[in-house]
Amino acid sequence: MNLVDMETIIENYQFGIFKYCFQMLRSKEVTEDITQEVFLTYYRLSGKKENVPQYLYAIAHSRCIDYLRKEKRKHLFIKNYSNETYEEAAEDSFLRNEYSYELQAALDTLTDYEKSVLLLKSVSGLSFREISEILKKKEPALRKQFQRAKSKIEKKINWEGAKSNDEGIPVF
Amino acid sequence: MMKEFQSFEDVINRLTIEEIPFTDCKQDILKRLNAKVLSKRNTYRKLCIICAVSFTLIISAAFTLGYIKEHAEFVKAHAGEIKGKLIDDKGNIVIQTGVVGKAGKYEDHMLSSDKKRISAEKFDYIKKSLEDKLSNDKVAIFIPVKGLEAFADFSILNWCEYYYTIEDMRNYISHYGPLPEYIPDGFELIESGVYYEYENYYKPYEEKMTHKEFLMKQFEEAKKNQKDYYYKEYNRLNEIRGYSLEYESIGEAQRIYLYFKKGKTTILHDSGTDELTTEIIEHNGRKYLKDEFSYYTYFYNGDDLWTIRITAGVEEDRIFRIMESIG
Repeated sequence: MNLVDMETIIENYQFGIFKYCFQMLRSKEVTEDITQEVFLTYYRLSGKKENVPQYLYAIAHSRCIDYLRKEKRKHLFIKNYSNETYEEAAEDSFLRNEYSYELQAALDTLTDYEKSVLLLKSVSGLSFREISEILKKKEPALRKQFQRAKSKIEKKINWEGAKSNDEGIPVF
Repeated sequence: MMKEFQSFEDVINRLTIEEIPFTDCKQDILKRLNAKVLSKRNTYRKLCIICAVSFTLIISAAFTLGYIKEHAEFVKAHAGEIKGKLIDDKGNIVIQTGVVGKAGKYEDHMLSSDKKRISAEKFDYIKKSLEDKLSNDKVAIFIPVKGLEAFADFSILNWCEYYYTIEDMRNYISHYGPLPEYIPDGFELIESGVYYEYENYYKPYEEKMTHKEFLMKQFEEAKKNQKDYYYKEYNRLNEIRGYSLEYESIGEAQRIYLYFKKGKTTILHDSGTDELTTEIIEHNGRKYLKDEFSYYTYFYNGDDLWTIRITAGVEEDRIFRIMESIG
């Protein structure tokens, strides 16, 4: 594949990949790095011109999952050895960005894979067949994961709603 | 205060219309790609060597991973000649490597690589669709037919599950066997796979024909019946047969391929030559069988024998270090 083809691919898919990564990771800096890595990896591993978006999303998914796992391990370490500092930092970041708290709280009920399925299906607008190529999982399993994600979010919304009504104070 | 989200659809709408802090990184990516293209020219020769090794690897893996219960029959079916053996401390042959004899060569019946690629692309979608419909307890033999004059290729659908992060693989495989603790810096996991045992579809025919003849027969019959492809399902078992890990270096055309197989291993190379040089090496108390393509060794996990094959474009001391970090 030559660089002209690659330029077209970057133009066509950069925004979608960036948005997917940002919504998975919620960090602008990390998203920028991962988006660049996705296209570099695509160029390095593939001369394919077919199924380009699936291939790009597959790399993006893999990079995001890797990053999230590393972060979780890091946070576990920080939590174990510096519990107070971590709790404070988390609290601060939510206070600073109160508007996204409700969305974040809903998404936090999902596993990384469920979040990925939800974003690819509902935001990126891919079909289950396309997602199955990206995540290398069977379509029925993905449908189940999507349903599970939907139920978890609905449960979270309803539970918070009930809590809000009971206590008579705004939750979000 | 009103809740921001009343329903699941509200959450999705919010995610869809959400403003994200997008930065156009096109120029940065292109700059980095340009640098890679220059570096690629220098590593082109290395790439050719690795590709040749990978091609041979694919051919030989196809034989090794096919369902052949008795190794002697497997060797006979491919008119194979064993060139090297690795014997464990109890005196058992655990790994043997050799070459495919003329009568066993698939290559003679294969299409040229260009035609094969076209055929693979043409049938890729059908294969994927069929694989999607298969339940986890089934595998299927798939042989492309339409548009082909002769038997060219076959696949076992659904016998392998793929994982793309080492953490996923570690979570899955820890019940079965170990993974390497050491991989040289600069290499990243490209793909890993878990291979399952499945029903021996060849068993009823093994007295009558070779494995290749069995596949060719299915091709001929499907062609006679004007079918686009041959497809038949068999049971997939819960036991795993082996697992693999494939790493690639960042920025360089180097690969590390590791394959773990439960039990003894026989490898027959179909690399276009009858010659194969092998040697036995001892390093830090561990024995290795080495041929022109790979290093092989073994370990016991309780009573279970595991054999390991590594094909890598890295120095021998790093290969030993990888192998010694396993288990």
